[in-house]
Amino acid sequence: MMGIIKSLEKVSHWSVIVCGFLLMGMSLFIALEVVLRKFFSVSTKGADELSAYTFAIICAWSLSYTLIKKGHIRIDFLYTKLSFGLQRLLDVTSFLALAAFVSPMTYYTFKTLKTSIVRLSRANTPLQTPMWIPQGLWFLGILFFFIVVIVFTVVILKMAWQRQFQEMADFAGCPVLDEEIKEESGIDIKKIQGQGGDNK
Amino acid sequence: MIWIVTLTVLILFLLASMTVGAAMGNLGFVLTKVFSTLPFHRAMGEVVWNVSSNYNLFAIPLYIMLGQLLVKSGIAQRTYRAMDKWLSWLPGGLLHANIASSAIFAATSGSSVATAATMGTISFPECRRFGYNEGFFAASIAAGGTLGILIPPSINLIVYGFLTNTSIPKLFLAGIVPGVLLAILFMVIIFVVCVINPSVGSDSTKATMAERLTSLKDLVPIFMVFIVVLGSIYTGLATPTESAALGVLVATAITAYYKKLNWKTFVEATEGTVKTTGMIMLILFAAYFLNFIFISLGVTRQITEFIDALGFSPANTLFAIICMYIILGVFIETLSMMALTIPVVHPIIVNLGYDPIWFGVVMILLVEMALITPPVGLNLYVTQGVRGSGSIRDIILWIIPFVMAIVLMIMLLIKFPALALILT
Repeated sequence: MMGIIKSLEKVSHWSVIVCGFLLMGMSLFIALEVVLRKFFSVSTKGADELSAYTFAIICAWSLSYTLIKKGHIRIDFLYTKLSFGLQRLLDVTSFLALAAFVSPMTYYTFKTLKTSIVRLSRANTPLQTPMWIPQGLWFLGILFFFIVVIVFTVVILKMAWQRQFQEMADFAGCPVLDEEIKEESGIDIKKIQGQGGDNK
Repeated sequence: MIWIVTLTVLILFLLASMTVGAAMGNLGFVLTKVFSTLPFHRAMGEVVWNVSSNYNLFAIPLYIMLGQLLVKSGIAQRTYRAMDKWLSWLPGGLLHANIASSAIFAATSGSSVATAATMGTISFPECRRFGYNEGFFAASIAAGGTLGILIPPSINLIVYGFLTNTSIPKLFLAGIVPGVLLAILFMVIIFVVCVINPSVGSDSTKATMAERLTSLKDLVPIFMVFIVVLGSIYTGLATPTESAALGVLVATAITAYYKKLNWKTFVEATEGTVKTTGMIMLILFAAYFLNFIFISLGVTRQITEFIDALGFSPANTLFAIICMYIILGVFIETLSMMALTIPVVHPIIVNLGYDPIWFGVVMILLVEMALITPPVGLNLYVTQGVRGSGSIRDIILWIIPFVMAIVLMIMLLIKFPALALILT
């Protein structure tokens, strides 16, 4: 099971790198559009549309990475006040609820893609983009998110069944502040506290 | 009836620490199943596609990327040193540099956690070297870190604009004057506190005029980002999304100029960007879906009618809404709070005759307050984490004057709406 998680993380990591290139590439393209419009009064006639597709793809693929990095927000107001055991119970229900939401989301986004394929829909723009291309890449991201959610839920249920509660806490618990600061700013609080604690 | 069910289920879901996006989405499904014979939930695919291919929202990952790159470029340290040289002669010394550099830095960075953590790590060694009161020092960083969501570019304002269909450029312009005023208010408070009780403040190294002028070159890059990002919007040259893209390129150039641009920087900046984007977008998908269900089932209309029927004056209703936000801000993370409440509160506010742009700014001030009020005030914990010693109580005690400043700013905005609307 952990092997599957490792491969999912690897796919997610590479999707993030692709997102980075998409962001940089699109920034260049948009800048070109602004310069052309301002100084030469011409337009690439597609920057807005391609930005929108790029964004859709980034959005869809970002969901799974955020989940792997425990970045999706959970309100921990009550959670932090509960016992270790109850927290694990809430971790399980939280993942079941996420699966309950993401499954229909994946189904209905597939329907949207299917409609575009069946009707051969094209964007109502100068580019006349066949909609299945951006929507296909977008749907793949959502499908991947669905797979990650399902695998994670199964892993957590398995851990709960085998009473591996500490592993569960590390794997699925709400992130503690130290982790969050490190993720956001790359600053390791524990290291600072070691240095500065008695420095008063 | 329906909104009582809505509220109960929602509170239950949130208290159970369900992922916020899933809580809102599942609520949408529950409401459709219970209260409607029509399959409104089938619109979900279209909703998710429309939100994720929304051109205006593309500004969000771009602004986050811009902030991430600037963090990596080491520009924060340079800004802090320059601000120290210019402001440390005031009573309160470095505390003013904390506010000013947080304001400048936060304006370009999307995350208040990153801002507070970065500024904290830079400034705490100085705090200890010169013997400032640590609680007050930390409070000034926590408060300063909130300024970034008011001073544009602000991701919170983009989210507000998206959920209410309000012009994002206008919201950005409306945030400038109140943002700068609030920064000045914070500095006035530091000044007053330090004059009354000089023991909380301390000195810093005194800079000569020549040193100050040399330090200006460290401020050039960050002002370039400002000018490109805000100037292009203000002159109408670019949309917020375009200005964000230009900003990313300038930030990349700055990072390269300071020789910090390499594969590792790029990967780390991208990871931070993608993670935050995913966090925001899942909430927005669910919020937009839930809002669609609310409108289809008439929940939004019912609530607006209910408020109307109470017969309160607009001022009293506004007061009640502000109180609601202050209470909610104590419990709920701020982005979730915005996504949950704005679709319902915005129609009420417009119905009362208030300007939606103006209310956007008021809303952001309330969010700023939530970021520094315990027990969920994230910035308090981040600064305490970086401080690494002593009790968080010191910070909570010293944050009070800053919270007062935000309250005062809200009152000023209510009295003089022009403060927000003058530039729009």
